[in-house]
Amino acid sequence: MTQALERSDYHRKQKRFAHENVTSPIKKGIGLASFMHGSGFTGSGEKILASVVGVEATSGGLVRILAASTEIGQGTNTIFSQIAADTLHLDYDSIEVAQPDTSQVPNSGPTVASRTCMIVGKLVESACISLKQTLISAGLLKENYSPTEFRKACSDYHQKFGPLKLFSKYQQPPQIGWDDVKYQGDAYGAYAWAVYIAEVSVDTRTCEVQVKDFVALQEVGKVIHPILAAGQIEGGVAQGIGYALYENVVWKDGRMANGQMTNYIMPTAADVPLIRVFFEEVPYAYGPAGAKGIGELPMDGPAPAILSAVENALGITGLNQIPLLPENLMLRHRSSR
Amino acid sequence: MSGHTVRIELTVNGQQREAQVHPMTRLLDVLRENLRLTGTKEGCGEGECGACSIFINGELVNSCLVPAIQVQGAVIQTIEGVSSSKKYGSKLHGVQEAFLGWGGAQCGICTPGMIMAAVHLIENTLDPTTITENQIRTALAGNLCRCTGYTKIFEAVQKACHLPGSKA
Amino acid sequence: MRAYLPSYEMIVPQSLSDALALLKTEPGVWQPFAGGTDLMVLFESGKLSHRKFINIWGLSELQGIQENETHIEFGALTTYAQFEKNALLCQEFPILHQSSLETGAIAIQNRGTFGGNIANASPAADSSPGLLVYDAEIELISSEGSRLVKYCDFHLGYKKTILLPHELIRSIRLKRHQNTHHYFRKVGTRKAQAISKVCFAGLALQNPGQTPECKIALGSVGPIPSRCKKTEKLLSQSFPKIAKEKRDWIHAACSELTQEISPITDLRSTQDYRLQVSLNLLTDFLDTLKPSA
Repeated sequence: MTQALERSDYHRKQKRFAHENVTSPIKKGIGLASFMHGSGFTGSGEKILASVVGVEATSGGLVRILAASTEIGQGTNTIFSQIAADTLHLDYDSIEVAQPDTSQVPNSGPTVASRTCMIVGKLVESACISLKQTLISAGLLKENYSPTEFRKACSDYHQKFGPLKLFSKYQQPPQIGWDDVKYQGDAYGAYAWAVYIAEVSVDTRTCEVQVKDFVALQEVGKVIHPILAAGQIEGGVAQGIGYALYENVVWKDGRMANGQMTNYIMPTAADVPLIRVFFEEVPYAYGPAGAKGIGELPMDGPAPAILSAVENALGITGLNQIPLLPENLMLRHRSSR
Repeated sequence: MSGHTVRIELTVNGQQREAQVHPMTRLLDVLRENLRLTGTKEGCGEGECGACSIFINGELVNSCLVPAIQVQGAVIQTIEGVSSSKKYGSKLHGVQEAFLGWGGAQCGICTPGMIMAAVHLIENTLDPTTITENQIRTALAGNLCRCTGYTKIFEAVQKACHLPGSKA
Repeated sequence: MRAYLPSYEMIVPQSLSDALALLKTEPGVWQPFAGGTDLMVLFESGKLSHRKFINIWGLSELQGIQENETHIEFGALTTYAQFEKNALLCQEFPILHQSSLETGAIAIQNRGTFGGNIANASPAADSSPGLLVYDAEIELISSEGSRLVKYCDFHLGYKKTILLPHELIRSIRLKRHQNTHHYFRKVGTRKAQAISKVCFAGLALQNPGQTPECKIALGSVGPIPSRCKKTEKLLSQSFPKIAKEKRDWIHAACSELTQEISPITDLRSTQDYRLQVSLNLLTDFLDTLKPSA
């Protein structure tokens, strides 16, 4: 909270805006939202899914990760490779992620629920640990080894025992539990925590709201890849801005009447400010290297922060519907003057 | 009814190309289907998203809105023509380098169009190092992205303005 | 892409006279097609009612920008980008410069033409309010000759214009002027790639020794983009001499404007919002003017 307030210059801006707003037709405001989002499936979800990840090593020492998670540009393949390379003390380039073809990979569950890094990534980590242990137990590898020694160990293993392939299956962390009958217990194993602060300007002549600055601060356990993690937050915040201010769905006779890019209004580059992302890390023992999930988190914060900022700008309260279209704000603004 | 086709001759990425198509075939389809240059993407088919952006005679244009007959004899540049060599990994344009280095792409569907728009900005500015954030914003306003929230794209373009590989 | 290509035809005339000859012999059959930024969108969504097109993009007789002492004239095929690159046009007609910059985005501005914007006759056309307040004249050409019409008289009703089936728009003429205050505001759903909810242009002449004169035009608040002549008359007749009179003057102008425009509720916005914004923008414009004494 302290960091977020500092980074956004919250108090000083609030004071300055209050002063400037008196004479300006463009009112500025700053607003805050604090929230959390669970990682992984809710309740017994992960236990029921019982996800599995496999890892295999070729006789040449190339490591292949076998997981059902889909790479769509969010960085799944990158972080899995990082986790495997880190766990096995190998170069990033000696790790390969297999195409998630169901004839080749086990069921690691769907690519949803902010679970890919924390749940599936953890299984990648544990599968790699098993791989390492298998080679060590077979007497082919010491505790501390070099990449060359690893490759030799794989080659030796293939000669002696055949293919080297291990699987790791999801285990619910011992301290969490969910009662499916009473619907009570731990909804999630872990939560990412965030404070988002939005600065807006409201043109009272048209009630158009513009987001001028956005600070997104979250505690995520461990940042596996800084650029990819920030990319997730920035993308989610932009979507959240759309959700808050632009993306109205018009219904007509049960059908969406504005289903074209020209009339379903997504924010353009001209509508979104630079989104400033900051991370805190409090490692979660059951995530790979301590990481928790962040995929859905950034969608939660922008709308409340923005509405709060608009209330601050106009000196009103009670805004609770999104998207906050200028048409709706105009009615509200007029009636409050 | 007319199923008649015409022969369109045009220069694409420095090469003489031709296609036999209905005169109102979208340039986007000529590029993707006839010339097999699938780098240019269709995001909306309405001129809103910019994923189909290319250059016609040096100008940034949405290829989904251009009928083939209007580019008879024109000079076209697509994303495939942006790097100075066709070999993968060699001699990328500064914008492409910057996108790779600074996380400018996630799913990649907007990326070819974004890069065209950024290249258009940089190559039409005498001194790219003077380009401001607002100018970048205006230049990319016609290219929609859902994954990145634009921030890393802005950063990549800002970096690209200073890279030697961005000079025309 | 929802259109079935073989149902359509597009021909390329070799010259303007060839084009006009065809339009004369087969009026109403061939739809002129310029930059395509309106027609292609309809085409791709399967909503284009025309089947035959005559490509006029590239006809040199419809291009070019010329100025003399009294007027600047630019061809119907002048794109928004070409307008933006012309220093003189931007300097003397800043409303049209601004409206061009706010049309779509760069890729659209490179292909959209003023002639197309006018002929398409959408009440939301971005260039219309500016053309109206600058008292633009449009040259219409056919195989029989040409006629110069006032843009204010061009629109007859929703998507109905005085353009005859065998005519093309050849050029737009703007009179060079002494106006001192140029005001333009397009209110859209977002900052780029947006069709306007309200489009307001205000022009005023406030020079010492000259009678103050105001012109107002609005788009998207009626079936056609229009000059608000009744409001203009009121503004001129009771132009405030001292500051005290200004508030009442603006108030009266707002009442008059309320009667003069007819905004509706549609997919993009509401009647109430459009009305309120029109009044707010009028007020904002009038606030920039000083009492005449």
